Amino acid sequence: MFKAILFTQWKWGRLLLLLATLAGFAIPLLSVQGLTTTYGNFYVVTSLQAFGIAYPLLAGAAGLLLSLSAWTSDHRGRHVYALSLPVARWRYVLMRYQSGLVLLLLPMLGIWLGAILATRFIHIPPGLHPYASSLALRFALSAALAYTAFFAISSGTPRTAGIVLGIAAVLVAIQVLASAAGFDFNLLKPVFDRLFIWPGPFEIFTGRWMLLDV
Amino acid sequence: MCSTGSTSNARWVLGLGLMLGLPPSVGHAQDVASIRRHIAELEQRKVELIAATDSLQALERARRLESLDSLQVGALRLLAAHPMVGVARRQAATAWASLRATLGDSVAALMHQRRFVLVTEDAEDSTQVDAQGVATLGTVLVIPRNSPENLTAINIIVAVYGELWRSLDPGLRDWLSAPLTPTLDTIAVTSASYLELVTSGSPVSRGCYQGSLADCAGALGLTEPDHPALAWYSAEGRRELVARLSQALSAGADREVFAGCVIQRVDADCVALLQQNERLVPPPLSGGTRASYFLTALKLGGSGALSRLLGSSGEPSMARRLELAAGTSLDAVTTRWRSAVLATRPHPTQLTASTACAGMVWIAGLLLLSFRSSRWR
Repeated sequence: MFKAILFTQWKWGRLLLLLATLAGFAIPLLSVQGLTTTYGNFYVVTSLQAFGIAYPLLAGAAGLLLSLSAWTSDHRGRHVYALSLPVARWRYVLMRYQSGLVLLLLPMLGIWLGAILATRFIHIPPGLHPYASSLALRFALSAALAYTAFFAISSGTPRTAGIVLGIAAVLVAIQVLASAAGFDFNLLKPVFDRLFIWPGPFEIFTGRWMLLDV
Repeated sequence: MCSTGSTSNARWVLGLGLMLGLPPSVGHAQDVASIRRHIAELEQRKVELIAATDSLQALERARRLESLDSLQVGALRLLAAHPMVGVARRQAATAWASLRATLGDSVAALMHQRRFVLVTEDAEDSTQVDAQGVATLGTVLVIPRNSPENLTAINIIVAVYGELWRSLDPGLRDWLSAPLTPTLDTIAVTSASYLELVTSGSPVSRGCYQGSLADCAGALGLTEPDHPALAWYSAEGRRELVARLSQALSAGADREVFAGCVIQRVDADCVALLQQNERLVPPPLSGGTRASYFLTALKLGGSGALSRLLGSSGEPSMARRLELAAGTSLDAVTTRWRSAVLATRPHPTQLTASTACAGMVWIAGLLLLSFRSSRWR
């Protein structure tokens, strides 16, 4: 049954997955373009920092799209397929989850191979070290976290997803209105800090994502 | 507005005075002696009127001073409208802590007899202070209304660095190559130097990273080798330098020599080009890193560092000037600077165990939430 679920999830998300894998392969290679000069390495390191934003963005996007594609068909079919299966709900959810997790290995492999190739083709000055595997591992964990978070939201009723999205929308709307009215307070910053700064759930997305570092 | 009114009043008084000073016999023939006497009288009245104008302006300044509160944080002296005093004091404390961390006690000497006036930008505010009117009271810092609080601290730091840059002589400015970059983040200054040191391909920069104090002095341009291009750069570095300086070098250079260096990679051509233009050969480490060294010397030298540095403009060697400013040997300054730079090594990318564990815990928690979903809608 797992194979069947894995296959159907691959069918639903293969285009997105291939795009994410290609992007993952290309980002490390693009980030080291120009790293051929001996004396400009400082500027290349700072440009690597600029590329660093691409990895967490890709991890978040891959997790989101894969989790949505995992449940779209069930929602559309009013969960009749799930009801007709002779398995417990938790086993069904686990299989859906595991399938997505297996598919997430593709963009992770893309990043890993791209990073290894990128570090092979350039001269790395003494004092700098390549972090291809560490980067790929961090990407995998981030993508898995994003996937799990959105998977949890998608697996619930549309009402649950609506409530979560509604709360986010209300916060943004209050902030926009407050700023327009000239109130000097930032509602989103503390929320953002709680989510993305230790011990927030998405802390792994922040910080330096560097292919080469000291 | 007050200032404009004051100036026009002064002009009016001066004009009236001159008119009153004209003798009734204007238009009639006069002898030379009487004309000279009138000129002397007019000169005297002019002096008296200028003195009166100065008094009026002093009164005006005093009136404005009464509308401002003065405060002192460290050596920073500020004037601010009463509603701004709380913010000004907090931000001045932040700025002072940052300035002490980067410039040490020498900042106190720099601030001697200098004063900042904090002015809000919002013209509709009744407590707003006219920026032009208070310019005579000190350096005016305009703070936009509703701006983040730490913008005030940043403005103060920028103003202090501006004063520092203006106080430097051309020799120091040439060595630093660019104005000092003000920052609240004192670690960032040396952290950037670490990155530069570790990524530079220059043999002297590499030597400095590995612990050679002589190489550090060379990389910072504190020594004057006979042939900088040979002493500071490797063959590949020279080729890249020539390519980088192509516009400046190719103008007077033989095209074949230029192409020989950049395209055919003939090092002798690169050396010849660079030796013809030695003043264009920069020290391997950037102005920002030289600035971090300069600040280390000032900090080591304490309160008299800046005055000793500025008083040594006759010294031909920059290394000697920095020694005098720091009050210690160049090696001691270099050692301190190098230790500070190496201590600010940025954290590498590696995924830490705590971050990975936290991620796994959150994944497990969110997955449990998914299991609670129901197939019955």
